[in-house]
Amino acid sequence: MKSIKTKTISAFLAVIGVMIILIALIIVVNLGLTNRYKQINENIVYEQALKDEVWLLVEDGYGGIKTNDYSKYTGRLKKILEIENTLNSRFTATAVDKESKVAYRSVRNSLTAVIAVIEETKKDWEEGGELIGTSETFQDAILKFEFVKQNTTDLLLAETKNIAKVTQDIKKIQTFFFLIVGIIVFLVTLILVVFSFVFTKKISGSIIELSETARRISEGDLKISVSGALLERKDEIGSLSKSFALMVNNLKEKIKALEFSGKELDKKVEEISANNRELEKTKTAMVNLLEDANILETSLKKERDRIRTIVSSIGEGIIVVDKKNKITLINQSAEKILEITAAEVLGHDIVKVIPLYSGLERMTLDNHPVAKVLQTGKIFFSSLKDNLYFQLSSGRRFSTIIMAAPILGEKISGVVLMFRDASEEKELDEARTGFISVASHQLRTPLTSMRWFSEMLIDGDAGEINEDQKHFVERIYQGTERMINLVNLLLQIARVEAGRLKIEPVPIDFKNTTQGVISMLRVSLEEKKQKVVIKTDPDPFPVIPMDQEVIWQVIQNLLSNASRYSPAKATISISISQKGEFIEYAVKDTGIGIPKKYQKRIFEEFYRAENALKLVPEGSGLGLYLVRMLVERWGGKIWFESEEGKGTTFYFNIPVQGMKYKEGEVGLGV
Amino acid sequence: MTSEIKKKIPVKKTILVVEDEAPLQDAIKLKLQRERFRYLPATTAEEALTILEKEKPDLIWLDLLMPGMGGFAFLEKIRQNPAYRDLPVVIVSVSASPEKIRRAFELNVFDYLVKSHYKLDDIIKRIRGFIVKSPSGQSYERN
Repeated sequence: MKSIKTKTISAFLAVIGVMIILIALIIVVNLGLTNRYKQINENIVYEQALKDEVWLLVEDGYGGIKTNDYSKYTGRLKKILEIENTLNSRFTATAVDKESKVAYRSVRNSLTAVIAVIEETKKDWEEGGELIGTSETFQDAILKFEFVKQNTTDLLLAETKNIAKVTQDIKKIQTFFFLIVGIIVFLVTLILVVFSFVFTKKISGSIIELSETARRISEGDLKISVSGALLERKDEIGSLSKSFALMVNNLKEKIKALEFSGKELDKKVEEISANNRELEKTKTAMVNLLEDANILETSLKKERDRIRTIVSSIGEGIIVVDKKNKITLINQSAEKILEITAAEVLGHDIVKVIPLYSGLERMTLDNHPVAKVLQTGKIFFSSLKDNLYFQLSSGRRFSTIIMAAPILGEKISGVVLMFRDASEEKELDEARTGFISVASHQLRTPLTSMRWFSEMLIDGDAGEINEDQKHFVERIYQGTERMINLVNLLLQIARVEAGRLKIEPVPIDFKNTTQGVISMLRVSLEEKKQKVVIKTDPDPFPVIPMDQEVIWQVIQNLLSNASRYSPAKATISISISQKGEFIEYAVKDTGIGIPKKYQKRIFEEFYRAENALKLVPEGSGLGLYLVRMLVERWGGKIWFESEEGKGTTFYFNIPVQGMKYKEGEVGLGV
Repeated sequence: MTSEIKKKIPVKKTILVVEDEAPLQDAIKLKLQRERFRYLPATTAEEALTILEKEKPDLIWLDLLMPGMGGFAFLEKIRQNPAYRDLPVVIVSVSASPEKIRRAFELNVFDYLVKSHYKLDDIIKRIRGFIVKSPSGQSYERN
């Protein structure tokens, strides 16, 4: 396919080429004519000069010498002369005018001869030799020269005539040429105009058609399509039309697709604007929040300063560490207790810079309270029995009680460690522990021998004794027994009060344990001919984890009280049942009851109701006190219902999960 | 009741009583001899060890809190000796702490009695009952 562009370019090139050739031709012809014209004019200019001068031209076969003063060139001539013989050339002497027009010419076979001719000719010339003609004196010889004898003026006239004629001819030719050129230029221009008109018309027609189609499409008429004639064209218009048609098709499809997704878009737009409204609301809320935050920040700063003042004035040592155990805060009390300054320890690992001991063992990252809290997130409490010590650089070592609590944000960000110098408490505790162990041994050993010996006396191991003696010894025996019981109770209370009692739960059956207690109390029960009835709901009752000694002690105290304050032949009812999350244990007697006015104080240490004191003077007033402490230690409750003269029912409860394990140094047994 | 028991015991059994309290030793001595036991007293654990070099008791009555090495050290020591590994031992102590009771049973005692809780008679009954019934007691007798 030849494109319009190519066609246009080649047409223009052809026209331009033709014009250039024509112009060149005109220039060349004109130049030739002009030159000729010039020559003629110049000849006229030198007309006068030709009269006065004759130029001598000596041709030497090598280009010659033109001079009107040959003498000047004698040296040169001589030189030429020297090579004359070898060359065996001929010399022609020609007299010429300034225009190299031959005045006369003489040919000799030596330069010397030429010169002679020239001398001779010159002499003739100078003498006004009118005769100018050709003389061929030596026709057969080498010498040959020619004279032109002619009147210069005549010659010139003739020449002038020639010139005029030539000039006229030239002018004619020039006119002719100009005419030709004019015609050619006119024709070329005409062709160009016609060509371009036709060509433009042809292109613009298609383009107008296309643009009309485009205009209608742009106005929304999608039914129109590009005409087949345009599409069949093989030039740019054709491809433009095809592209256009393709574009129109695409446009139609796009518009269809657009219409299809229009509804979707509407929905989206609605959603987006709803979102925008939400965002606007959120923004407003945020702004409000930020304002609140500013107010909060100010009050927080105040609060922080207040807390700092409080922290530094607290008597307990306080150290705050970050999650890498680095100390970030230490109050004055801590500095004083640990004999350090904040500058020494701030930013340092607490485990390293503040030596903490468990007994004699230095605590490490594995067991340090701070590490424990960071790991578990639970508050750590120590007690005296944990035997924690601080060891100072001065060598002082003292017992401490520590509480470590996590600083909770989203995650644990650090730990607050609170501690005090517990050396005095430790001393007291040690004294107390010491007393308990001394008492348990030193009091009970002599009591044991009193008991055994009075027992042997009664048994008659030391010989028969009379009834009175036996009665007295029995009193000693009973007193000793009471004393032993009292010592045991006091020791147990001391242990519970000191918080040293441990609870080790094992699965225990309530009924079996109660029967065990009954058989232990069998002697006194049989004495009073009393009966104990046990009822459980459900039956059998499930086994639950309890500390055997603790539960035994509680049941024994309640049951012996019931027996002691009930009349002979009475029935004591024990019922065990589940009440929600708790197991309820009830001991019902038909005894003297607790008068209203004593009921409030019945669980107090050494407190006894008047009617009880009257009936059983030897009671210690410690039993119910111990029972209350034990029940509370396992997280249960104790209470009673009573009517004076009719009886009392004591209740205690225990979580259905049973007792929880509790660390401690000792059990209840003493 | 005592006369009945006497009839049941054909051989006189030897009991080594390790107890530092002299009055208690007196009472025990009186009771055991009345019950026809052969009674060997020791007031310290060290003394008891010396006695064991010559005597072969059927049972040891052992107190825990004593001056010197004390009851537990004594018990651990004799349990290392194959001759006494299975020798019946009863602890009779004023202490009733669960730790001690547990430790005692770990050292293979046949009973742990809290002195002040028992009549002397009751303790003797238990000892007699064990020597008669206990498989370990019998096996020791055969040796």
